[in-house]
Amino acid sequence: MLDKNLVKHIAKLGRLALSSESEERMRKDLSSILDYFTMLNEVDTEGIEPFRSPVVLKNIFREDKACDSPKQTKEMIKGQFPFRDCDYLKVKEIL
Amino acid sequence: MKNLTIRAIRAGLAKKEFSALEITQGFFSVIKEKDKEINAFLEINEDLAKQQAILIDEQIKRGEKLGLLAGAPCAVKDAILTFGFKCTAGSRILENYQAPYDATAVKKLRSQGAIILGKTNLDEFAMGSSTEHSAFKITRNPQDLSRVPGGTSGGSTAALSAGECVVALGSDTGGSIRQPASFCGVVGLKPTYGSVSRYGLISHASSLDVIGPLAKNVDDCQIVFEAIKGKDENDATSTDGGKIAPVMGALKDVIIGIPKEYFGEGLEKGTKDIIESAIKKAEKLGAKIEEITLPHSRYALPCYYIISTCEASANLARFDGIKYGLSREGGDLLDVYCQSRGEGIGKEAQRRIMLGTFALSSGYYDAYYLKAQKVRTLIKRDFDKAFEKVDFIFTPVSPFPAFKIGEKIDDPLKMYLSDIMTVPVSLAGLPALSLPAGLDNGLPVGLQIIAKPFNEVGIFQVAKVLE
Repeated sequence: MLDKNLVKHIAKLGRLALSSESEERMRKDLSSILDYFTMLNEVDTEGIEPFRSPVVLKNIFREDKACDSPKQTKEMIKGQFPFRDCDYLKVKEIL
Repeated sequence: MKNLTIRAIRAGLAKKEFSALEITQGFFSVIKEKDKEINAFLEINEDLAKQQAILIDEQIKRGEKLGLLAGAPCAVKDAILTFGFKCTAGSRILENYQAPYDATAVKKLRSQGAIILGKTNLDEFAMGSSTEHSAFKITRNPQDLSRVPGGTSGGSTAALSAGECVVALGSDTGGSIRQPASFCGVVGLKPTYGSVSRYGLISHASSLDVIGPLAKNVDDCQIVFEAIKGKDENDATSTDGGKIAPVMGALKDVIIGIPKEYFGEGLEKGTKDIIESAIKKAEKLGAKIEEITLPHSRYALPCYYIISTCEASANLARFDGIKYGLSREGGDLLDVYCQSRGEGIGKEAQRRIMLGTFALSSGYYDAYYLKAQKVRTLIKRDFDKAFEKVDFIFTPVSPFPAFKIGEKIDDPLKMYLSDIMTVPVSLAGLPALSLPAGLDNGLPVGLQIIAKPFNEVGIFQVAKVLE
């Protein structure tokens, strides 16, 4: 069974505020699922490369030029800011 | 109304037997009649749809050439951005989020004249196997209202099955097109990873997600796939694909592999009988049937649930109450994140974020994520080896048909085991179709047809013969 403090730690890393009932429920669920995952230890993966991607990945570049968006799109995005001040998005203190 | 196909609509419009507006109104009548029971749709917009239909009718008046999907009523899974509609991903954290643009797949459908009726229900953030994890409503299987339609594209498959639309878009990460297609008795394709642009799809797992077509018959499914596929500069993982496989003459030129690992314990008898009949039918039509082995099959499920949750924990980090969506004022910045996500994100999605965060965290990354990626390589190799000998692989889509609403909701692991036959294909990035193959006590059962990368053409040919 996962340690209660480990569950709290993961919740904080995942930026999730959980009630103490949720934390306890999560502890039980995660423990049984993680137990199930240990099945993978049966597989010999010595010398096996980890899977990178189903397609060949290569960096794609474009010109370092600012591209504009339609006014309507910009307004739709700004209009959905939870806290807006003119054209600015308001957030809590970062520093 | 019931038997309308894409081609029948297009021909009927060209011959002026009916107008696009009449078709559109007809389908909204069906939705109004049936959807209060089925609950396939989260949002419909009759005015927007009528506007689109009128444009098609004007095109016809001017004698212009019609798009391939002209007048076809289409439903779109609510994880795929569609301008003019909200896009909730089935989550409270996006309950009022308005899509600022069309996903590429939607844009392509519109350019071919499809009429978007509305957005369909899904498990929150495409995480689930029954559509029960939607924050908003339970969708019922039109074939048996006490049962789930499957998930996560359950709204789209239910809408099709109930005759509320002619085609639909879904997305598939671990089986989310194929399994609900099987449960609802419709045709669903999970395309090869990268063959359809993911631009505008709310991401679940970036190395697994694919948008795909759903329809009542194979021909319609193929027409939609041809319309939406293709490299897109807005999706760096999209590609036009390799060489198209040679066109198949008939089933007599085809070798079909049957992996023994998919026919063991756990497969319900009713499903097994139907799949074996489908295999016999293919054999009678001339295909050569060969038993194959995919030795790492049983490790695909834990492998999938590690990789997808890890990728999901990264993809869902953006839902933080800052730029859009549900936002809780809280104390400091950390509080805003934690409260907004704690309240706005549902239990199942939270569980997956926790799993993924844990598996990627310091001290656990090697044992979980790295290990799973190595096992994934082995799973892909199993398929590569098999495809050296066979052209297609046939399996059931699911060990059982649609289960009862509420049956698996309290046991996450039990729910995850529903995906046992679909996740290996996802991990390998291969294309696979779910084809209705029969009824088990009235419940639809789908056959899974798997092919080599980019051989959707071959899948459709085989499926048409068996349909």
